[in-house]
Amino acid sequence: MKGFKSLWKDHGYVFALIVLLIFAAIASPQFMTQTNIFNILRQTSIVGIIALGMTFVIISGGIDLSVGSVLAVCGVIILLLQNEGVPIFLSILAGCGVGMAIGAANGFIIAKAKLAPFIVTLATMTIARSLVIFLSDGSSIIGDASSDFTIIGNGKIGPIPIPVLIFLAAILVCHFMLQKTKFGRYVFSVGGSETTAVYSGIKVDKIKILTYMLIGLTVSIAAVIETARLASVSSASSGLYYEMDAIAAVIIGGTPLTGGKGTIIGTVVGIIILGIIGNIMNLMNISPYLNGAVKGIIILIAVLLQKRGK
Amino acid sequence: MKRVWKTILTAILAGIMVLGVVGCSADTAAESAAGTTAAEGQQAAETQAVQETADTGEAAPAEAAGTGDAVKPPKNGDKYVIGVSVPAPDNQWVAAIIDNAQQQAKKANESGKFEITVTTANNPAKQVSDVEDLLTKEPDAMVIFPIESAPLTPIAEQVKEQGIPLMILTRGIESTKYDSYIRGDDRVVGISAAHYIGQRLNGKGNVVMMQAAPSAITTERTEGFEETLAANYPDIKIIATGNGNFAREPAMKEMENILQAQPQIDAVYSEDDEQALGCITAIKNAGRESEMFVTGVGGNKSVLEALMDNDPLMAATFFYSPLQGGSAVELAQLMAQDKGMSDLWEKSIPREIIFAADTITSENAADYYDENSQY
Repeated sequence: MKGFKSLWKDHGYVFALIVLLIFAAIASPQFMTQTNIFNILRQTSIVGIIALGMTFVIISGGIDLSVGSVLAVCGVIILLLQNEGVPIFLSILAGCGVGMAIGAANGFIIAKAKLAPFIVTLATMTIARSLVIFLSDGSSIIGDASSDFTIIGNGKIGPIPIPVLIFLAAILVCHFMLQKTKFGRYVFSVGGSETTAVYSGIKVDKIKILTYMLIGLTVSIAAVIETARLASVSSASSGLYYEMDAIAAVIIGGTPLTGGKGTIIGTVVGIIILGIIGNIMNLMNISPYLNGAVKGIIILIAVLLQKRGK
Repeated sequence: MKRVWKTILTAILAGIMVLGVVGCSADTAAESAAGTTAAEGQQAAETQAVQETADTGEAAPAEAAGTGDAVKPPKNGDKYVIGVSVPAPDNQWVAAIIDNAQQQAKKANESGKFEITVTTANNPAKQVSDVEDLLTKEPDAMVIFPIESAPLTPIAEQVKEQGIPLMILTRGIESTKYDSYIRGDDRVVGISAAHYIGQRLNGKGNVVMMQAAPSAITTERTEGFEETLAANYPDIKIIATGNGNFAREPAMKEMENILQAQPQIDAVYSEDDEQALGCITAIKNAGRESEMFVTGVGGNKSVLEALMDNDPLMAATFFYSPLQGGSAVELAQLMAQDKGMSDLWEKSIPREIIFAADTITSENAADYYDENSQY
């Protein structure tokens, strides 16, 4: 069955998701409840939005380790502005601006100085986190818990949490951008073979910078949601390890680290799989220390499947 | 991707959303009744025998018999469900708290009357998710040790809004909506250390402050120390600070650098015991043991042993025990049953439980030493 084989090769994550859902439903009676499913969707929406941006970056052959720290930076800026009386809308714009600016800086250094993305974003990650801890003296920035801003993180339209709707919108936009626009095609090109892309007349540097700005935007949107949900941001621990989850989601979803291939839907399934694992381990009272082990094993399996598929 | 499979995949994902909207089983979380079902509780005719000798230390039985009388029955089934949400164990003290909590949980689960789940998280958003997951189990009580106070406050208030008894452990929340808050005394730790060092140095000298990782706890220990020094011992100068991250290795590295830079150090105020041990290694390696002394915070076995051995370098520590992890779970068990603490006449748990930050020196270290302790 040719169709089945190609599905398994390129989209093995579908089967992983189905198996996981069946297992989870059997293992815990609380899994298949409206509250729990929406909890999972809302919990994964923050890292999920970041993972969408990460998909573009990885497909183009790069990587971004700084997303967690940048989330903290954007969150701090948004709340500091709001605490000074700046209107909510403007504070959100400022946060997005900062996220995109840091992304642009990452992209610029990577493209122009021709440095490895791993190193550059590792540096940005450390610098950003350190600066934000320094500026807030190690503690949290607290916002106004009664402000309308928190509706973004905790509100619902009907039964659906607002962060989930934002996530959905982001998925549709990113899918369209990746599959249906010139920008998307160029991203695949640059990731597939940079030299070929250059010879085709594609402005490789510009594309790279744009992908990092895009992830910067998704990080700032995620920062808006998280800050609204918690009505505060922790300089030391907000966003910690988000880069690991975002990258893991992209990989589980079938995008190889070498770039050139990938889908938005794969990343979405990847992030949902990670969310279900965390959730079911809590519901089943498995030692939370094993969460990392399970995630790691799933990542290994995903990569092995990718390799065999080549 | 072939169209057929694409459609199937979309259908699956849509199915998840639909399931969410329609709900496979009744969404009971929103309808959880208020915790006080005292009327139903009174019909439990078999009163627990009043065990006067039961105390709430580590030796207490898993059932933690309280003041007898009517016991509130579990919300669902025959077991009390309790959720415990704590941070990930990124340092020894927190690891000890988690271990104590898990040991108590295991004892309680084995008794067959309880179903206690412990979750850990390494950032605030994950911890909020953990609490949400625990809430879907409709718990009879919750224990939360917030990674940070502000981000965990909204979800803690939500726990209370659902009528669930809430115990806050070690780090507080920015709200008064809890039933009980158990902790050590960070500020007094700093104050006591300042007085100890100030008096021992006769009001004059150079002090190195080895702080712990950035957090509200650290801020309290630092402020208590600095303010007391400024007010009472103005001739004592803090000549250098480092960040020991609650652990031996980082503290040792920082101390090595500080030793290089500072020719004369009279005392080291370390905001944690493990850090203190790291500092001591660095000082001994530099051959400067006779120049200064070190104080810590916590009361772990290695430090207590050093104190009992009259190690001149390890001068004192201030009590801040991770036993409160086990106590918190045990008290939550009482709250789930609507019981009070035995030996107290009140039928409810005290709202604020603060363990004194005793000054521990070689004179009284033996009183605090417990061979079987894991901390």
